[in-house]
Amino acid sequence: MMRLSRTLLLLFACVIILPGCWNIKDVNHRVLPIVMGISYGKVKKYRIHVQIPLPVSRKLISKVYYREADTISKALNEIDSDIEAGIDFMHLQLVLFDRKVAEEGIREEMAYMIRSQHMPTKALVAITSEDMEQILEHTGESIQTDGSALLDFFNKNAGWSPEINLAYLWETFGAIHSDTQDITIPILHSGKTTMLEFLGSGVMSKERMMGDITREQSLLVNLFYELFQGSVVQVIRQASVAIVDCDNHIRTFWRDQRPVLRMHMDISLHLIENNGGLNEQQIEAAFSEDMAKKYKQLFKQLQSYPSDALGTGDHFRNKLAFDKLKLWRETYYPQLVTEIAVSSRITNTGDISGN
Amino acid sequence: MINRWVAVMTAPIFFIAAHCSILFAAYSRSMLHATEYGHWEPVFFNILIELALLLLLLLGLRKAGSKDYADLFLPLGKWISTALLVPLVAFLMLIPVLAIRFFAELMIIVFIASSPIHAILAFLCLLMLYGASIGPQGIMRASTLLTLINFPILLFAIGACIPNATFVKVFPLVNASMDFLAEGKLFITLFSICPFLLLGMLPPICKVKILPILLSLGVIALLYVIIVYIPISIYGLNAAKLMYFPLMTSFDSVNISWTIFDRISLFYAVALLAFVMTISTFTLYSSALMVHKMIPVWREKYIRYGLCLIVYILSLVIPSWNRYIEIFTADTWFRLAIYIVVPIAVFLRGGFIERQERKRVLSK
Repeated sequence: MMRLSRTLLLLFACVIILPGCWNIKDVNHRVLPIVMGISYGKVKKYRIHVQIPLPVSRKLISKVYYREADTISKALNEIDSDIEAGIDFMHLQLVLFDRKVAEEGIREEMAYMIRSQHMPTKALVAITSEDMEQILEHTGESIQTDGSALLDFFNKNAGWSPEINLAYLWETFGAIHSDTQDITIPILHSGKTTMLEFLGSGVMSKERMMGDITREQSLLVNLFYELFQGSVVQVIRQASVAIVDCDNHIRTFWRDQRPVLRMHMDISLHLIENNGGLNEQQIEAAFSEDMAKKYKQLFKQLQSYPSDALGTGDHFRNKLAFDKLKLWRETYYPQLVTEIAVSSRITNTGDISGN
Repeated sequence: MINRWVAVMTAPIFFIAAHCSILFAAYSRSMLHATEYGHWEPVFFNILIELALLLLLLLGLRKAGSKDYADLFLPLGKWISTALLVPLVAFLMLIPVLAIRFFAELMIIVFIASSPIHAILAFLCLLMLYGASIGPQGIMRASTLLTLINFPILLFAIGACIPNATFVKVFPLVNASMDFLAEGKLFITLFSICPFLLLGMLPPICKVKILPILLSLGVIALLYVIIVYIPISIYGLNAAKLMYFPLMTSFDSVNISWTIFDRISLFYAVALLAFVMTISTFTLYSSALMVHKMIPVWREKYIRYGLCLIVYILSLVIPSWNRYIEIFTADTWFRLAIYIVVPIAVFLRGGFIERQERKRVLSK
């Protein structure tokens, strides 16, 4: 009896001190933003947009709210206090930076998002030069018919295509602080017929965006990292081939006090259309030559920024003294000599052998 | 057959569990700050120091037969035994204080952002008190079962990180300057080896064989290295050093689009809870036992309540996370003294007891 009453007392005490949830807002009193837009404000420093899908009678409608404040958190806080539910950033999927913000540097903004503990670090980062409200309203329309449209756009198992560079929050944060690596951030625009249009990528040098590369060049970046899935069609002298596989072998060394990167890329192709009258060997040769030329050009452009978006510095980490790594981007990277060799092989020509 | 296996493996599995609770908690951050680069070097020193002290302790314990610290030191007389046991108890109590406070902070970050810290600490302390009241056999059984369940979960969390890791970021590897030896930075990270002291409380409870424990130290050594290099290979050295919870942040980066794996850090936190509870429960039990053996009039149950209350209050008065890290650094010398004195004392006492035993047998 004594034992039972003691147990009951203990359990009762637990009920009092440990209800388990403190200030917990139920799911129906929370809103879950999926896109956050960061741009400079007219009156105060930042203008922060959040796009929130709201379920209304079996349908999703999307709302866009914005506030201006001197810090991001203040703006978010003001939005939070003005709407009738609490904001929970647990399901944030995309952080859109205005191009001007990206050009001036996103170190503080990234630091806030990593520090805050409320935002998932696996959210994606993108840049837009369009008006923030416009692009969010536009993507909002697509969300109304398909709730996960935005997620699918970047999902490797859904709508992602190998041209699109992916920049996660954690990756961007790492690259901002890295001495030997930079990142490319996709530039998005609301599409005329589709939800979004991928224009190319912004090239970062540490926290600042230095310039942009085209869609085709961002494919080269992904191929360099062997970040490749599915296939992508390339046209070479009226013939079109699909890249289906890619192997990139990188060797680095020093020659005459200059860093040298020797890269050998093996690409497997499928022949899809052959209209130019070239035979397979000619197509292979032309394709390899074309790719090598494009890589040369890409390196030249990146070195002029200087932005090590291909992470070549990482391959020199064990070939350079630790205290010199800090100098990599400014001193050594512009001197980098690249030796590029691309060999391609048509592994499959489809069901017919000639036109 | 299986019973014998369990009897032999209980101690090594407990040893792994106790290490996990510390390695997966504060260790990676502390180690990242120990040196500029080449982090495997201080890790290697850690393991060497642990190996040496562990061997000394285990040899002493083997000679002494199934005796724990209190049985070994109490015959030395009131003064010497008090001088040895009181700091040891104080140190053992520091383990749950720091472990529980760390876990409470982690819980606030991972799942319950708005819960007050005193409630979380109260919950953890009650859990610890309950565990310690079950008794040594129960704790050991729980440690075996929980490790077999939760260790694979932690391994899964580590495995899930690997697609995000870039191997080349671990370079440069060789740091010839050995800067961690200066300013005692290496010693700060030595809190990670404290579980070896707990083995001294095990002999009356289960078999402590040297070889299986050394083998488990091999597994732990591998973990030591992996845990330091995960944040480095994901975020890069500079960014990883900025983080307070590098491991948790690394697990957060995992992107598996299958709903239950949406947040790997939840798995990590839940698995870590099992390990933190294992180590803090056992330390609470063993310090209560030692105090009871020193002062037999006090009932063990009430000592446990008292110690648990002390743990609760101490972990509650740590006001901020920065202060927590300061405490980690501040008790370094105290900790080192315990690490050195206790194994040597056990070794000497073990030798003495063995000689006495031999004399007794011979004189018969």
